[in-house]
Amino acid sequence: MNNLDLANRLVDRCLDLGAGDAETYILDSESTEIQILNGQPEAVNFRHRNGYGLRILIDGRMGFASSNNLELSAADNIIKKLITNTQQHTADDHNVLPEMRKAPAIDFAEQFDESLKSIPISEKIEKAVDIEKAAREADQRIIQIGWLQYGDSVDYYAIASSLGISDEARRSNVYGYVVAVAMEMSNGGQPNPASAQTGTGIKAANDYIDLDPHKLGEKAASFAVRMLGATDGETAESGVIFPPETGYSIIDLIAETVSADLVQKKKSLFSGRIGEQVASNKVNIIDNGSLKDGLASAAIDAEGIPTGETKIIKDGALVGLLYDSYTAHRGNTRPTGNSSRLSYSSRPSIAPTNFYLKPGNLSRDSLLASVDRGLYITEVSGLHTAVDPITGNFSIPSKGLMISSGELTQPITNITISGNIFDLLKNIDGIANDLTWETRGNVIGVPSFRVKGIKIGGK
Amino acid sequence: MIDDNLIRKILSIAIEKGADYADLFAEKAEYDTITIDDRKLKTDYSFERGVGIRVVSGGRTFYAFTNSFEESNLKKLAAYVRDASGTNGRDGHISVFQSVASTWENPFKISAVRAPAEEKSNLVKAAEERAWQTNYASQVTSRYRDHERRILLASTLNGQVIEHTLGLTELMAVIIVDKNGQREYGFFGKAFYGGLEKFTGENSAIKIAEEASERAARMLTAKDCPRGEMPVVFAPGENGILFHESCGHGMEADLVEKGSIFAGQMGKTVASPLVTMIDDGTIPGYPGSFEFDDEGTPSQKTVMIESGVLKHYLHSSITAQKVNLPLTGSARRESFKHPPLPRMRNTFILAGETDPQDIIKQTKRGLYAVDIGGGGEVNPFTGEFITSIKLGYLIENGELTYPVKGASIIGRGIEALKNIDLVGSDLKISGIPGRCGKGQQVPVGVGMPTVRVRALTVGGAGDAFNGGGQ
Repeated sequence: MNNLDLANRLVDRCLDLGAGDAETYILDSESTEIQILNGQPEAVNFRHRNGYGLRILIDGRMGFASSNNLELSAADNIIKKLITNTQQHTADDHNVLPEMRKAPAIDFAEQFDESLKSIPISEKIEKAVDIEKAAREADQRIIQIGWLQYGDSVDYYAIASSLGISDEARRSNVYGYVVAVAMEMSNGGQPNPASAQTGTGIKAANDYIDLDPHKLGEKAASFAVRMLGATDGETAESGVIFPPETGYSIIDLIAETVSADLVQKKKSLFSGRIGEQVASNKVNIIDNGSLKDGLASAAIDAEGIPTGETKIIKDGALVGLLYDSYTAHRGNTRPTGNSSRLSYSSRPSIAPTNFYLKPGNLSRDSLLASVDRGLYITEVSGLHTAVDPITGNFSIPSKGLMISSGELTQPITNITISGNIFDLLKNIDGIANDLTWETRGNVIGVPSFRVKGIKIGGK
Repeated sequence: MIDDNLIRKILSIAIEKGADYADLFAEKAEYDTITIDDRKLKTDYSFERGVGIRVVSGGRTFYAFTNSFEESNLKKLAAYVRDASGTNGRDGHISVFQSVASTWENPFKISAVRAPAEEKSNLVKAAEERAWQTNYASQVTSRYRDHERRILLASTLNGQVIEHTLGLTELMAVIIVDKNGQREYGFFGKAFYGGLEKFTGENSAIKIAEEASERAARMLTAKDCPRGEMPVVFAPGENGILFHESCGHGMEADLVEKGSIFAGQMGKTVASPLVTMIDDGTIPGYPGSFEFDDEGTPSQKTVMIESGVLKHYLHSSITAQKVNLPLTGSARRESFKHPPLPRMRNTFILAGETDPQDIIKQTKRGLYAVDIGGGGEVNPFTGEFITSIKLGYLIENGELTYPVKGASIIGRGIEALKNIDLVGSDLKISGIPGRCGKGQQVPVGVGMPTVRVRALTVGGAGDAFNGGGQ
């Protein structure tokens, strides 16, 4: 039985056992992870995840259960437990399963690389080792590789429901992640651990061929080396530039916060701010699940709804949110195709697709040249604890490079940048044309941008 | 779960080309969640089963798992992992397996999985109801989670077959308050390696919600924390997450091998002589406790730092063999989907001799950190760590004056450890809800007494800090 047949059979079984409506999502995912230590594979993991998630509706109550035992005979116990659990739920008129909508005829076949399943493990190991080599060869001050991981996955998913959805989609992904450690040499020619700085390189792609181990290794090495000789920063207030590798964090925070679910439950920074000016009029932010060559592109989302483009911030005003079918019903609007699942074992929830800050006209160099004295932020850490999700107040531990007369100079460490996220967005006064896609969880597109007047805490 | 004959057949296939050793980790698990969010109750239930096979060859791990228990599938999987490991064709030797019986008292007085659904819902409802009584409450989430994992582990390393059950119950509440547009939140929760009976007395649903409620209320009165370098006094208990992050990870032997800041520090002074740091997997009822680790080694209490001197790293069999040191019972996996890694269990700083009240009295001006929130992050290679201080108090002339919020702390692990100059007598160990992540999520406990660090860099939205010193 193929996945779609099984999904439909499980829907039928739910209805037979008493569900009003039902939906099955099946994930069949094969992935490989390779960790490298000193030029050798430290660990190689083959992962085959295959299971289903059920959602049922009984009188406005929406239950969820999952299992990875695919034998139909075993499903009855799960479904019976699900029905008992669901009867305890609070009824809610907005609990709806989506009806079938015709997906636009977008073919993402070019972005699917099934060869990931047949490439021999030895070849993948070689690619991973090449990342390490490239990092070490880029600069002799790279004296170790703290972490190196290669990963790939080929996912198939099927969705069927009693409201007519019966669809399949597939996705491939390959990534490399490397942390290079640089140290200065002491007088005796030995590396000095107290001078250690790290540089992280992350690259994700749909196709195996698009993961270039040399570029990735060199990037991590250059990020580590540029911070050598860092001195403690001083408390100040100055203009800053976020290049894509750190601006990512700011745009990602917005991506996580414009979920209609959080907004409707008054848990978001953006609750009650629709239509308001929340950023400088230079800021335009868009989510597009149908973007050509977008890493997060797919014809349908995790509820089977066709994806599309959603404007979030237009000329600084908050004009849109990300909706699934529940929040769309509650907000009296249409779902935006932003339902997502971490796995078959989790309920669908709202997530961004290809989410990006629209690039401006300035080149990166002229953006830099416009700063007389300021800070170029090279590292931000702990954003999930550093930004208050309710108030938007943040205090983000950071590192950077001083900018003097438009040039990058002294590396600076041990500083925090602080303020409020809305003030930061309103103070964005320059956006470059170097749109770069960064993938660390979410797929976020971000050009370099400049922010005036940020508080910097140091010694 | 899998009979002895089949276990022997599968592991024979796994090591027949000369691997160092192989193990089989089979599991049947149930996960249950009940949430009331936005005044609506919902449940989530998952059943997960599977078998993971690991082949270790030359200190390298090769791992795969399947959701099938069928003999033909398991044999295929074992052959697949064996071939991937590229071992050299020597005959593997398989010992006779010995069953090891569990000696721990069942930590689940009331089984979470078999308890009626209403009993769990009632906990969530009680917490939710109390949470809504908070002044200015605008949104409440209360959540109960449990899991029960029945595990079978067979290893050619020690020739043992171990069957035991791990589990966890958690209850937490988040309250968002909105006072004329000023929004804050308070969070509190508890986690136990034990059943529903744990949520009574001081750990009752009401008490948990009350603590979240108090935290939310205090946030409304807090001012922006000043920024700069200052002495910081940490409140006891769950703030121990600070040491878990800033030091513990760097003492996990796989990260030591990769060059963590604690590499090459064995036997050396890495902290003030007032600091003794323990990682203990044997304390009954705590989230990081278990009878056997996920390689079958009995759990133990490991002294990581004794009076400031680094004594032990945390090992798995792979890391211990490389440096020829004894196992520490700290190899853990999230589930059958993962090979084991060296991990922390319940990690804490031992109590010192100073009266905690005196620590504050002896601080002229500084910060008292009440709640450091999520715990923060560490870069194990540079030793740099960051953590937020969600809620604190300013210390002025040896007294707590007004509450402050929105600060973060940056430091280097060893430097901060050496800067500890007062350790209180009031050790508290907490089972915090949530997980420690290292590619895999595992439950942990943390703890500490009141501790003062002479100087830390605090970043806050407030004014520059002036007049530090003790």
